[in-house]
Amino acid sequence: MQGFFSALMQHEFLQSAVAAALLASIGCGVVGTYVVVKRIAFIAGGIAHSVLGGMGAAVYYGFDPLHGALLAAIFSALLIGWVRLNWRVQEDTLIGALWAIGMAVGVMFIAKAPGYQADLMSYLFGNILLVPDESLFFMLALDIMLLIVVGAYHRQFLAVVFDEELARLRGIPVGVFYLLLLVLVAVTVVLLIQVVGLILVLALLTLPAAIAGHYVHSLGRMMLIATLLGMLLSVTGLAVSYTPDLPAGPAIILLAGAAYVVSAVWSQWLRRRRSQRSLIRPSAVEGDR
Amino acid sequence: MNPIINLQGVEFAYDNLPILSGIDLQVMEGEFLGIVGPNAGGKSTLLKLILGFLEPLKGRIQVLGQPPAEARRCLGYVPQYPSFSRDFSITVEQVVQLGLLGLNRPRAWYGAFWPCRVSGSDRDAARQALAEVEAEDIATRQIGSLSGGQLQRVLLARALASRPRILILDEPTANIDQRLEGEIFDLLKRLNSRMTILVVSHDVAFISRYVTRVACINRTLFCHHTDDIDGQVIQDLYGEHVRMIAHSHNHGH
Repeated sequence: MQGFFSALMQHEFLQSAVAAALLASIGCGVVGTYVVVKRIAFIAGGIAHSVLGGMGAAVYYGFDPLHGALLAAIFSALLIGWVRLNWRVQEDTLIGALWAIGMAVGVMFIAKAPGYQADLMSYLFGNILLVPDESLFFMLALDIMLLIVVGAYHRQFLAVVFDEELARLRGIPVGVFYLLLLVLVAVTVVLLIQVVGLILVLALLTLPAAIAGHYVHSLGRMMLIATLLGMLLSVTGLAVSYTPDLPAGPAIILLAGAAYVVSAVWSQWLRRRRSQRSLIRPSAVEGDR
Repeated sequence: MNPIINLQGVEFAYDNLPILSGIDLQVMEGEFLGIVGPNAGGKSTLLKLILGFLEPLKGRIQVLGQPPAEARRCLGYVPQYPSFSRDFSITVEQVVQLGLLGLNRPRAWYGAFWPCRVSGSDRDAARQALAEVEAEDIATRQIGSLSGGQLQRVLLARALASRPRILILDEPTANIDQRLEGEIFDLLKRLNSRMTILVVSHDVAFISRYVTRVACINRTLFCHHTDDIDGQVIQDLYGEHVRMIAHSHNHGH
């Protein structure tokens, strides 16, 4: 740990890594909250994995893989959203198929990429220690866009994730906002790919928000706490993995997974103790009037 | 006087399975209309047509002289089952405020994409709606911690927050006990003095004491004055022998 902090002062690549972790945590806290409460983790997983198709194509044609990832993520978000809205039969099978097809396309392109053989492992599991400065600016721009959209439309998103029927009654174009939400998920996936890679994205997208959901009871607070937790978990994971030279992405995910399990057990215990107390003092229970 | 809700020759089917046919229904301002009929007889479908969630195959529906989707600003709706999950992190107050969503935005097409905030008057309107259903004391509670009766009141407050001209309820008391059922209908009766109310129910005898008119639906629709409901009417409606027992629910008047 100590070695990490003294190295952080000296090495620019570590400072970039921490900056990337912090920037990614903003997206994961804000959008992850919607993913958790709307229960669309499977859809988010489909978007994350089919991104490899876009990254592979970008590598093959010589573009920045991150730009390819963004295009592929938005395309698959719209496609999966369209399937969900219009093709309810076998929705899960179709999303599973898109998930696998996207990855297969990516592996094909990467295998046939001319010249420099891109490192497949770093797309799959992330390589936070090799984040170039351009990527940091790209991530910052994505974060700003994300916060503007969520700031402007938080109420509409709340209505769509909480109660689609009510949203429709109040004249909200539910389909449009649902697709916009999935596009935000796509943007967040691209943010997180730098840090933990596309296979592990799902964990960092959902676990901080799920932990926050154990303790706070409004979406705004969940977003704030999930963002702070994401920052804490990703920087700690980076620090822990540094000295023994472990891969940072998996270390961050294992830390987040452990935190989630501990929090789930702890919050369950708290809830049980509270309900037992209210059984002992029946006056504390509010029933129907 | 023009009817506030007007259905003419309405037909509807799900995947070639006819649900409603030849529906003519005129509801006047200030009515308290009960809608009864057997399960799968088309009661909820009729409400969804009036709310504009479904389009009729044939016929014409007008609400306040407009197509239903355009009249929605003036409608309040209380669903039979809440269409949200009970463990969602949201307070009662926030749920009621969502009932006001988008009421102040521009009417043009871009209004749907107008950013919405909760204004001070939204907060007041939500508080007032909660007071109306006598649920101010649970305003800060989580939606998941409520009993069935409390949840029903909150859904009613959400529908009332936007000050609707027409209030539409789908079996509002299906999941709560009889004493509360009476309280909810007493409240509806009071609200009826300032708004038109449509309520779906399975209990003909019970609602007859509150509503001004009963519409009986089993694919087709017949309207009856509450006093004319007798065993024969019910038997015709349900298509089998149903015994009508005159009774009263004792709910502490």
